[in-house]
Amino acid sequence: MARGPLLFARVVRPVRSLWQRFAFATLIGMALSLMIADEVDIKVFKQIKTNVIHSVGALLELGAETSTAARESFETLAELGKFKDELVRLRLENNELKKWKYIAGSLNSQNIALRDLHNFVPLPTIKIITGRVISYSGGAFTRSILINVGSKNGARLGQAVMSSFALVGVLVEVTDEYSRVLLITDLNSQIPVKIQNSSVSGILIGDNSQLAKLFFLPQESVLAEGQVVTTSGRGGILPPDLPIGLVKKTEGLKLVVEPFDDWARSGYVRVLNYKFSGTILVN
Amino acid sequence: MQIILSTGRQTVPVVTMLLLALISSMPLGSFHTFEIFPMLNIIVIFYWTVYRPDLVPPFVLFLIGLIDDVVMGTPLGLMASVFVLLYGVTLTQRQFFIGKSFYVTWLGFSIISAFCICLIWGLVALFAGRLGIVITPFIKYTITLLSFPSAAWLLVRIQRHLVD
Repeated sequence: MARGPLLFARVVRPVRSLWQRFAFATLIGMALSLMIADEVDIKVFKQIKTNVIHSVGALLELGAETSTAARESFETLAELGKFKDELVRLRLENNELKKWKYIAGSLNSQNIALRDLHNFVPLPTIKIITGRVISYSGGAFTRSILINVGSKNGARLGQAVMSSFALVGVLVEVTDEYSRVLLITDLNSQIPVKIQNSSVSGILIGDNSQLAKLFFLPQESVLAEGQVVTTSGRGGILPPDLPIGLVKKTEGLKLVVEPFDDWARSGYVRVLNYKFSGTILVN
Repeated sequence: MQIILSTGRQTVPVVTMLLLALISSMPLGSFHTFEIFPMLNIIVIFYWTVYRPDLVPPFVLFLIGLIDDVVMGTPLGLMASVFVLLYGVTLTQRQFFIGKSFYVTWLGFSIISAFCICLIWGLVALFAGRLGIVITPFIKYTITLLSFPSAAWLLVRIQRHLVD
């Protein structure tokens, strides 16, 4: 009668003692092989990642939703007293913007006329998908965010992600419902850029700090603090002329760019559904 | 009922670790607070490994590490290996901390967490092929170290009321 459970125990006991002895080494070995497998892009591990993001995503989304709601109500309460000053400031700004609207209008008509004159082939139109930031990685070791826009909504690998007006990063992982954005300040981020209103172009590389560095600039290029850095569109993956940040200070040959990170306040970003014909994306 | 309660009590360490893994990646407050957010995972794993190692299965640490990797975007297995190593190293030094004053434990934590953060930094640099900035991890380490007493205070309460 007692044979069944006895047999089971007989099998389990040595397995358990083996596990207790080698658990530590096995787990370290598993972790190391996972790291290598992830690096060489094995499909099964991609699937594991997708599944984990999928199951954790809903929880993160809920957290993001509640924390934003709480923060917004606090901010509204704090700003109630400043409404009058804010109104005066906005009126002044509005007058200034009206002036710019007329200038932009005339420049636009001039631009259309010049394009007609030269039979210019326009860039493909860009569709925009707006999503919420649901998670932000610590910052000390990686800089990426998870957003609730996935392939269901039209997100594809390599697409540019913007805040209200500036480049935030590039999509590096896309699942059905969520995607990971590699921020321009991450150690793994390299973006072809140019300096606005000049012919200088280079590569912007992150180092996990809040700033990114400019490399591969042409020799003898002179840059001043406060110049605007934009995407150059070279390589055809990112659309050209998306603002990135301002040139901050010059340390010898290394130039530092301070990104416009206004997304951090709003918690919303926009994915640019942009397809440049002839671009080949690995993966 | 008694069995359910005691099993529930035994899962408290694992549940606190899982909850922290999720909370520390949620966009709570301003995004800039993340720069100065302590690495609570390291504190919690260290604490439970020293005081209740019987309730910290290394396989669960491995899984929590994997979740952390996926949420943070580090290469799969990186945090998992760090958490398992943290567990292993703490376990070997455990006898030394038991029954000593809080300051000794704090000192031990300062050495072990420094080792962990250096390891993460090194592995991230290895995978990127470039060295990352040193100041931010150092600030993160200092803040983690400074928040250890208050986190330990809370964990002692949790242990007293929910686990023991």
